[in-house]
Amino acid sequence: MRAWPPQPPGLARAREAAARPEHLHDPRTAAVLGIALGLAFSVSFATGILSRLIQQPPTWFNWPSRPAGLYRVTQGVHVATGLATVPLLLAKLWSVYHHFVAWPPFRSVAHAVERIALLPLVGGGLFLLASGAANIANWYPWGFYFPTAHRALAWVTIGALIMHVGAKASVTRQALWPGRLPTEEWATASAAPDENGGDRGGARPAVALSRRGFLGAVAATSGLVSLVTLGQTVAPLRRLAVLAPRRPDVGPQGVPVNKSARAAGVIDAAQAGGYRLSVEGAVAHPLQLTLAELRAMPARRATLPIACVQGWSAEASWTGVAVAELLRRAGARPGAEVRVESLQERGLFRSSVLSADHAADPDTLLAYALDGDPLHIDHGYPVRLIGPNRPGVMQTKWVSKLVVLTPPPPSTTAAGVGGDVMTP
Amino acid sequence: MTKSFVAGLVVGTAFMAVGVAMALGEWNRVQPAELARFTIGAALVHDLVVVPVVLVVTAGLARSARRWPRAATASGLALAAMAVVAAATLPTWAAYGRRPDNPSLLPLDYTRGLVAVAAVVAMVAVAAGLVWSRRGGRADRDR
Repeated sequence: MRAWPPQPPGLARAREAAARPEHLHDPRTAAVLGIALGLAFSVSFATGILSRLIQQPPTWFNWPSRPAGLYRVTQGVHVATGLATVPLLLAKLWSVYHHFVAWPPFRSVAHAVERIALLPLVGGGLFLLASGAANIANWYPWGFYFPTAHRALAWVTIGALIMHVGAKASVTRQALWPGRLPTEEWATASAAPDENGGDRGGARPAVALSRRGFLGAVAATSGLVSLVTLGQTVAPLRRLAVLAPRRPDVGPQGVPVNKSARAAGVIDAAQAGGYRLSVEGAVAHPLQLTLAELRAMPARRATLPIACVQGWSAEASWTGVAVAELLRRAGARPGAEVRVESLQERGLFRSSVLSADHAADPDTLLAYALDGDPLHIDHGYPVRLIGPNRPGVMQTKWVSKLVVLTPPPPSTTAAGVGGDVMTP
Repeated sequence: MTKSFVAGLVVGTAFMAVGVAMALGEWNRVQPAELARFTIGAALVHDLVVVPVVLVVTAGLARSARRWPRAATASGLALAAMAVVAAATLPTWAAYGRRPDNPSLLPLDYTRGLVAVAAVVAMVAVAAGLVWSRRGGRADRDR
């Protein structure tokens, strides 16, 4: 008796071809790759969500200023994991491709739901990796805003992944720990690719690559992708980073930049005479300081990384005035947040907010020198913010103003509510 | 329908709903229609173009594998590895995002980088092929 609906001609042969060699297309291979892929996507998702929380923190979230290089690690892991996931995803899709041309397309409502969820999983996974790779190379061949679209699609893709994990849990258990009672899913997942009458004998290559060899080759390819890109954040590997979009030692003063002064449109404003740094807002004594006056204040030097959301980072020695010292001189209340504003007139990152923790950290500086030399204009001349454990886009350049924000109510502030606090 | 299937469906749907709400909440920035076009397009290009091409290439390699099985397998793996590395780093080596005002962005000679990586992969493949052949020949003699 023939199955209904009738199978399109040639589909059985295509499925059979796509399922060779069988041991690389069986549930065990798919399960191993699937687990690796699930872990990789989970790490990327968690570190991506963390980066978002740090950049736009809700009231319940506080990102500490220490350890100084934590963001560098989390974002480096995000990008490195994403790149290393490409071979895993392609290998996984290749190993299960014969299911794509399975017939009939849907065997039950549950099977239909499972298969439909594959579209956001496969399309989302491919797009997340492709768009992430494009983003780190500053290439945006689309009309949408990358961070928001990438984040929204990440939630959808992880949702589809969770559905897939739920649907494949028994098959995966059975594939990795055989000997348990066969389940209906196992019987289906391991069904012969030629269940509709194809011939599966006789075409095995003389030397079949073992499953272990195949998985080893996939792991080695992931390792190779990491090896040729990881040096953009792990400095000792920089000479091997021949396919990385950045080198931590290449840029003005030997440090990369993300946005140049020209791109930010600040060249004239930054080079004009009469520069003044304002400290205003919720302070007792608003300040107006020239660059010379800033340089005359007690200087502090800190070795800190610039850690970009694009996954590169570079460490340098910065010299400047501690923000905490400026706030103290201006009579700001301890525990207040501070908005740091740039000479840049437009752009999403023309200002950033220092949480109380970051504002109070002695190494959060308004820096005027990098490795002992005056800042290059692309690094934020005359003065830039540099602080520990912050995303690069929140290390505001060409700083013109510190605005001390309305402090939290006295009940939530630490000790030190002085009598000389001026409410704006 | 197993318990894990239902649990995955419920939790997965919740995650997907968050993503969809995010996309709809920032409609102008996300442009859901264009995002959907790119996402579905990525799946279709992969399933209808990339994999069929890979299958044709591997079928060709499998034919040559009958005469030189180990060499064909080693060169097939090397070819696949290099193709995947090139795909993963395409936006970098193609340098579409290079900007004249920022020499620290995409600063390297990526053609040279790709050639160097390809050379290393080829050398590893040749070495692996030789070791594999030697082990295989020994195994054949011992049989």
